[in-house]
Amino acid sequence: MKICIFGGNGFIGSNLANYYHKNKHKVYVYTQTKVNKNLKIKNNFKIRYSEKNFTYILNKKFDLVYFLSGNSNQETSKSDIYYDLTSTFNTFVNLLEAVKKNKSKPPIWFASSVVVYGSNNKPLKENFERNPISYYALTKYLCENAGKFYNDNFNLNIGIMRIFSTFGPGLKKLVVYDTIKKINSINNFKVFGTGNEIRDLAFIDDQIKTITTLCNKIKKPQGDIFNIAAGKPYTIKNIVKKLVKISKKKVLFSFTKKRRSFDTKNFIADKSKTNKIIGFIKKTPIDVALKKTYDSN
Amino acid sequence: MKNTVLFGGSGFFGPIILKKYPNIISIGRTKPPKELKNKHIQIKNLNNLRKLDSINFDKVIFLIGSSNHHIINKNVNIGIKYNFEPLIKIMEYLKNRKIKKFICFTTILLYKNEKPGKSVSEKGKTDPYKNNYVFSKHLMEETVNFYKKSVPSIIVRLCNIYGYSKLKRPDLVPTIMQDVFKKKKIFVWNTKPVRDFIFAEDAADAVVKLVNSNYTGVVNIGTGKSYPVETLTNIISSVSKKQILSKNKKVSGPYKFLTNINLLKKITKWKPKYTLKKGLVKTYNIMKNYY
Repeated sequence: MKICIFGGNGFIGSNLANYYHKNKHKVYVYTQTKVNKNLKIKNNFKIRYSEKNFTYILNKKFDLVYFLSGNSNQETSKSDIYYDLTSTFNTFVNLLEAVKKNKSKPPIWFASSVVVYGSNNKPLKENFERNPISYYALTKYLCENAGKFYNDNFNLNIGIMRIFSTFGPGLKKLVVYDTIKKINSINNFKVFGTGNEIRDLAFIDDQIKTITTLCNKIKKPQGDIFNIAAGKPYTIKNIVKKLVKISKKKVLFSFTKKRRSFDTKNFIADKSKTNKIIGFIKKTPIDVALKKTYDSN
Repeated sequence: MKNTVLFGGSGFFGPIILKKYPNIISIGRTKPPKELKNKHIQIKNLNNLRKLDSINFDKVIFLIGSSNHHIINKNVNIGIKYNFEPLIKIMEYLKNRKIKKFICFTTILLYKNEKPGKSVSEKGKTDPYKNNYVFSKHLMEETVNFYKKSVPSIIVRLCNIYGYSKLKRPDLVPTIMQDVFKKKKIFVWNTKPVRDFIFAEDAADAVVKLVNSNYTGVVNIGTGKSYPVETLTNIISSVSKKQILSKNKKVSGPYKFLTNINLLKKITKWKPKYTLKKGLVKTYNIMKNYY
């Protein structure tokens, strides 16, 4: 297959690009910020995400397009909505406009996020009401809307992946990385929140298997939304304890007892809709996944 | 009304509200019509609103946006640029002020209107993806919803509003009026669709009552009565003594739409003062002085 990944230099994008490359697919990677030099993909370009450039790229006639671009950091979008809107929403609309007008209409899979659900302690189903509470979440939600709009009106094939917390070697943020960094540098450290927050933490290799299987099974998405998650929740306290144990270091930790403005108590995925499509996929045990991540840092 | 400001006072609806309520302060880059006595605060754009920090207001009527669905339906980015982006900018400013009420305008076209002929209340199902224009209005509603904790808001889903204006507008009544004074033969696309036509002065009263209410959320504004376009063209024909003909073309909106305004009445005790005939005659008599 000929595959295009916008945002293929990021954490999930680069792992996705490597997966397809290893499996002998022809991969084109694009970024609007910075080319990741560690990514060994020949066709890796920095471009401006204008409709004109998207049109030029689409003329390569791809079988599958992923849009994983845009701001991926809730922390940086806390004070500036315009950055999220211009880097994610406007660029995604530019892509959709380009596809609408192009002869080649490959399926487009948009990387949304669990955060569109907002605060909800129940296992999250794709049809739950959305309640974005951060700029990052709002932007993802608006993109989902744009995807649905173009899917319904212009006969495009758009799929939405609501990606839950993902970790693994190479990711330099979020709770697993932050904790490893603290374990390796401080004897007594603090972790955001109460520790009782529940996260559906998924290992990157498993997420890539889920994404690629899903996109392979659904050739023509119809504005469908799928949770991309491990489906097994852990408390943050549990994850931190496991990492400390893996490190074999004598460190103390405590919790700030305060959550950041964009943090929610629980994110638990209901994966039944996704599982129905992809079937059984063997997951990396959490201790193995955490060890691999710890060792890579 | 001293603490109320209005953005978009140079458009169609803004001047009508300002004229009826001279204590409302106008804010915008274009001044409202000269004859209005309202205080006006000039701004270059919505990117930097610090100039407003020293102005005492806690209620906002926000009319900036485009209702030109003909143009927006050709290019979604126009809808995003003129309806969605200005709203984000004003919300970003207002979230840091203590605002009692913010009111903005979307459209009854958002409704799915599954059973034409049955009046549609705010609980009616929506179809936000039916065209570019409706989608841009849907983005506005989602934005207002996102800021609702810091900016208590009302979203008005407005039915077919008509009234006098010096502006050249694409809507049904202004187009007919412009043609009545300029052309010998007057055509409309279709006289069959049934719509709820509200006179702008009535709508202005409803908006002002809403902005002073305790309500937040979505509310329909209409008269609660619908008429075929033919009734409207007959009234204008009768007053102008000009024949108005139908091209019998397909229209983009619903063929029959009835607005349920029970919620509006409950919140505000408002009711329209103008019948369709009275509103159209007033519109005609005012607009004939413009040509």
